[in-house]
Amino acid sequence: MPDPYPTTPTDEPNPGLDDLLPALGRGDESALDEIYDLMSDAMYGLALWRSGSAQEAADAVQETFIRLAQAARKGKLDRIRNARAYLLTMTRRATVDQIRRRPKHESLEALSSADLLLPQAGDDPSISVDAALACRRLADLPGVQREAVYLRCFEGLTFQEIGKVCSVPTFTAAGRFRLGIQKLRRLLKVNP
Amino acid sequence: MKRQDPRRKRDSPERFPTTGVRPPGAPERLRAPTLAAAKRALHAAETDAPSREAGSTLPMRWLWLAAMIALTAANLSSGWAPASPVVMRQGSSPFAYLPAEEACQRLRSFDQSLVPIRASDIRRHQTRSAQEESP
Repeated sequence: MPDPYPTTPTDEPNPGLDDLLPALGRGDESALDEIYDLMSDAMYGLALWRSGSAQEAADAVQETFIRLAQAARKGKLDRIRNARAYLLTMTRRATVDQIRRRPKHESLEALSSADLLLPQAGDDPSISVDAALACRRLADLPGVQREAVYLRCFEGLTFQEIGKVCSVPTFTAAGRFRLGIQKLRRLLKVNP
Repeated sequence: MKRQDPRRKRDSPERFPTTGVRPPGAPERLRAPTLAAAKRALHAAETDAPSREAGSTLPMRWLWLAAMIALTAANLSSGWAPASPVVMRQGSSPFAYLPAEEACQRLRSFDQSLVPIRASDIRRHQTRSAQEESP
């Protein structure tokens, strides 16, 4: 059976990314390109799942990189121990700022037009999930549960790390994940 | 044999159906503007970094606070006392930028236009109150 978690858990050391933040703090401009190549997909995915809007997700990623450059000039990147979780935390905060600027009547329309999942070729079709159906079901979940599911299932974060990224206690993060998973499994009619 | 933690099994990856799907990655058109904006922010930081490090510029809010304190002290030392405490609490009061004498005059005219109370009004009110209180 293929591994449903393709990414490396972040509690394992990631020397490439962890070295890039101090390099950026020293003014190395090329570090920004490498950070983008390593993290942009994860940052965009988190922003998309949290906001449900492709446009807001793109704005959040751009805002995150600007804030990262501003943090570099203030010398705040030398003390970062978990670069991946730090960048995801910045992304989440930028996304929440985007959501707060959004007019309330636009939220449902933005959510229904977003593609939260894409079909992936190569897996066993008998056990795969219909991406379009899953997208519709995901749109029914609260944003905080969607982001917990995304961080756990696609980014491989531990509940402790999810709690730090989302600024909530570990048990709250685990609870959001379980609630989201239970609803999804029920809506998709997938057996545990 | 060591017993497995039930929570560990409950959180195992196999319990979520992610097979056959993946979240979308960042669109290619996002790369160039994002990196350009971030590098501009980085360069902007380098240009004003020396003055920041030398301490020649203070944050604007501290400068603003110092100016307000100096202005209040100058007003108080000139003998001007606010007629209305409400005006003093408003930080954006236009009187703050005027000389003390002129601000005093404007404040008095402002108060008189808002509260045109005469002595006869006060006496009439006192008489009515006394009549209502008497059985």
